[in-house]
Amino acid sequence: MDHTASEPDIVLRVRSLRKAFGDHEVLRSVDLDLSAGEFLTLLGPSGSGKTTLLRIIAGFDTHDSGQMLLNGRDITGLSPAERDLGMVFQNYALFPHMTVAENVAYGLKMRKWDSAKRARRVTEMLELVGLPDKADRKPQQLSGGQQQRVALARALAYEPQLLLMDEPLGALDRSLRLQLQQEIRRVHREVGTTIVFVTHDQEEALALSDRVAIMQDGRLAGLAAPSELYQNPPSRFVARFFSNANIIPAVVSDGGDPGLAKVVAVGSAFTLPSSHRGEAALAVRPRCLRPAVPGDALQLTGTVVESLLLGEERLVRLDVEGVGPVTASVDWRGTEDIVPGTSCRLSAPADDLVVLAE
Amino acid sequence: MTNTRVGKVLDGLFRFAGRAILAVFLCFLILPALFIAVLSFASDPHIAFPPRSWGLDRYVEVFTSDTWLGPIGLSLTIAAVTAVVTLVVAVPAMFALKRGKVPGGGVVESAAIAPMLFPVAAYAVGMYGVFAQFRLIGTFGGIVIAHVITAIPLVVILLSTAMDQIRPELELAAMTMGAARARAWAGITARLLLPAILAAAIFAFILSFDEAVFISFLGGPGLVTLPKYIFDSVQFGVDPAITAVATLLMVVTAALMSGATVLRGGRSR
Repeated sequence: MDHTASEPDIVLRVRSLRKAFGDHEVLRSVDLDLSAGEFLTLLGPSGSGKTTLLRIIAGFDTHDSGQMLLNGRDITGLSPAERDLGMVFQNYALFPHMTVAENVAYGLKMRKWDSAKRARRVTEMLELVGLPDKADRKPQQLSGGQQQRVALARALAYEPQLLLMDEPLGALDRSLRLQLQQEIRRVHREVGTTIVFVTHDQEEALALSDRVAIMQDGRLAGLAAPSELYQNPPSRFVARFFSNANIIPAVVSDGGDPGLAKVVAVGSAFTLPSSHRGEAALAVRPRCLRPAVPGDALQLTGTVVESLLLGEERLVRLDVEGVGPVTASVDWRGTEDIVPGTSCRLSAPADDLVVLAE
Repeated sequence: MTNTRVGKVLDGLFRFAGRAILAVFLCFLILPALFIAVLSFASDPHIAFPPRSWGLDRYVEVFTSDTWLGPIGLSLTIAAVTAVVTLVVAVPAMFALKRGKVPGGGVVESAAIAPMLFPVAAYAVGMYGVFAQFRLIGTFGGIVIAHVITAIPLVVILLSTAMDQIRPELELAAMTMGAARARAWAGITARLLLPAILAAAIFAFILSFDEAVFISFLGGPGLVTLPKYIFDSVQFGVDPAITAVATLLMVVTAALMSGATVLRGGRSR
């Protein structure tokens, strides 16, 4: 194997990958590095190119230009069979004419493992996903969650260099989804496979990933640890899509220090760390807003459009002049007077505000 | 009030009318067949109802005389060859259409179904012209070609719906696990398609075995299939053995059709 000596732990390297369907550019120069054992989530709205990227990595679709290296080996011209990947599909894609055990053994059979070794491995894998007693069932006899666990066992059985998962939890209901998230986390911990996981669900991305790649119109709009992206979104799109943040127009000027900026937004003026100057925007997450506290940097006054008590918290939609609709999620105590039609004042401390240049 | 009462009466009336029509319909469909089946067990020298004596004479005649065994054998051979050739043409074509990226694939599929829409007699006359040019009239191969063309629309429809129910992800999954495309097609998709393929073969076989129009136009004097022989024999007086042949045909066809239905139903899940 010709591993690149300097970076032995890069499993997948994608360089300037481009793909167009006719005039429509689906991928516009995507770069991505995945280190060994990493769990990377591709997150984006539908049509952002995340599934196309996954299909190209898997070898189901071709790309127009760019390069893909799997453990230093160029896989660009290789068929899916030659790439040594595992794949889990949204609709499970278990072979209906085979038993669970035969499904899990399929990849091993293709790799010409002898039958004793195969049987041992199948038992081991079914134990890993918690289905040791289902070996002789047909996939149709299992629930959706069980089928997806079989699919996971099947894709991992032959220890592929990279596991691809295409919205694997998309067909399951919410409680099952949470349960399987845990399951996937545990399996990832135990097996240590490198994983690329596609989803449009930001909670899933937050719960599972080491890093999240947010896709927008065929580009990577952000690539970082989920907590970093959540708290410091690099752009308005990421702030809105990943953190559900409110975007508030602001003007940023010199704050006396290169790393500090004087920010003016909806009548409030305060200082924030930022090197950007000129027109900008502030991102403020719904949870960071609270009923007005005098010392807070950002003060918002608006008309209540909607006020819903959701258990521990109250969801408030406010129409703020010069900003538009603002969503806040405030502690429910002492919020009975927030009713539609009345005026309401909310605020957020400077620590919870992020200056967005883009 | 009156409205609902009138409505109720009308409701009852329609329900009764519906059942009556269904009963009459079933009678007309089944009674002639039953009538023939009953007559086939008579041993009178001529067809007469009610039969005066009973026996299996007519079946014995069908299975012993060359006059019947010849056409039956020819029909079976043509039907079997037609079924095989139809599948050899249609199955790879379906894979290409459904799994490949054939430009205008939908048009090709519609074109394959088109022969179903033409009036058979007019189509046969047209074929006569073409076959005459290529000296195919009265040849075994010619009849097989004509039968394959008539069988292809039904087979394409059957295979196409069956193929639509097999997810392409199954093949892709097999391929990521190390199967070459041919192996994924053969081991997964074709394997799952097998019941539909067998059902399609049965339908093609029955279509060919029952086919009476093309053989009359294109068969010439030499090729006498069972339907053709029945037609011919009726023209010169009725051989009572026809009732036995007809009964056998009905039973075998019904058995084959239910076999095909079971095959198609079994794979839907």
